[in-house]
Amino acid sequence: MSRAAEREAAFTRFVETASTSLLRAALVLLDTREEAEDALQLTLLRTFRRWERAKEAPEAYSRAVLVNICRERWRHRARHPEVTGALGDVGALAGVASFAEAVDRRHVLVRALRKLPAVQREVLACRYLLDATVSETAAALGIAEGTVKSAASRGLEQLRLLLSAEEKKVSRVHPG
Amino acid sequence: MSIQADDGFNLKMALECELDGVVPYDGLAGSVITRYRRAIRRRVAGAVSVVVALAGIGVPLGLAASGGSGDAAGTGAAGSGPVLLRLASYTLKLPSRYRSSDGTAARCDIGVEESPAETATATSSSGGCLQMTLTPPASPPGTVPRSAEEVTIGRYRAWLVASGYWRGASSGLVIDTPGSDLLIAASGLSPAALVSLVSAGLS
Repeated sequence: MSRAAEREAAFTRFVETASTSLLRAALVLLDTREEAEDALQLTLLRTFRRWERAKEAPEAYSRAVLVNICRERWRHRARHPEVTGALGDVGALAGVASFAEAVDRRHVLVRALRKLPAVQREVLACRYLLDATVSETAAALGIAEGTVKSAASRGLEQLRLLLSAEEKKVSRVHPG
Repeated sequence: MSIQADDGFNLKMALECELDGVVPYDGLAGSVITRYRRAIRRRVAGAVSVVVALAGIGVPLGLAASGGSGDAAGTGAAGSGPVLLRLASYTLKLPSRYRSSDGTAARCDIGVEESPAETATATSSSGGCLQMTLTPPASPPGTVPRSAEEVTIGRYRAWLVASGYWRGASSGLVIDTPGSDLLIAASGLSPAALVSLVSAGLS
């Protein structure tokens, strides 16, 4: 088998084992499934491009790449806030938005995670979706291990409050 | 909703349960590899087009630089090959480092008596220049300095004059040709080098 074929085979094996958790983490870190899939593909592309360096620890490498891509998206979004449609478009868009919202509503936890501050969200995604240890999470995010622990603790606490509030809201709509 | 976030809450299990249906599409690795190959091909094509574009710009510029001095006043410049200086029936073939300078601003500034129609000049890439002038006959040997050394250039008698005889020239030759005298003066060339160059190139 040629060197290029070996490289592609190793990369394919890595994608098969790691892409699901990467996609799920991207879904938590970004807003939509489309964005998450796009970020995943870009993450894998950048990992494959640097495979010679990444192959020693592709999970760690791709984790760091994914976090960077998500941060790039956040920064882009902060610089280019979405333009809202004209009044005449509201009726048509409202249906689409409500449909998307209805689909998204199933992901209660994901929506709650998205409400967390960025660092907490990143830490929880790395720790609980990408199975990274505290030190691996710190390396991927470029922060101290102590920050990872405190962000994880505060994130879980915040998540607990958000889910409790969500449950109360559901109880009011559907009593009993 | 049954998920409770208490101390024993297992976020990982809950997320896995909630995101059970979120899986990447089949053939993801293949599509990434294809995308990578396409990007490489685009990059190679881009590099090739840059090289082609640069060659497209560079070749005409190179041609203009090498052939731009042209063939003025009957003094042949041979493009990228040797330069030919012609006066009457005499031709002096110069090495390729010379460029004919007739008709250009970069004329040779050597103080040999001349009339424009009977002078041809060439400049060297090293900064020197060479001037060939046809004068009325019967000047030498009486008019050459006593220090001039008689030499033979092909079938002609000639006198080699050292630096200082003609303004701006480091060496010069007065060649006794039938019906006229051919003066060849050069700056940036030693007398021996001038003799060697003229002996090899004059016809």
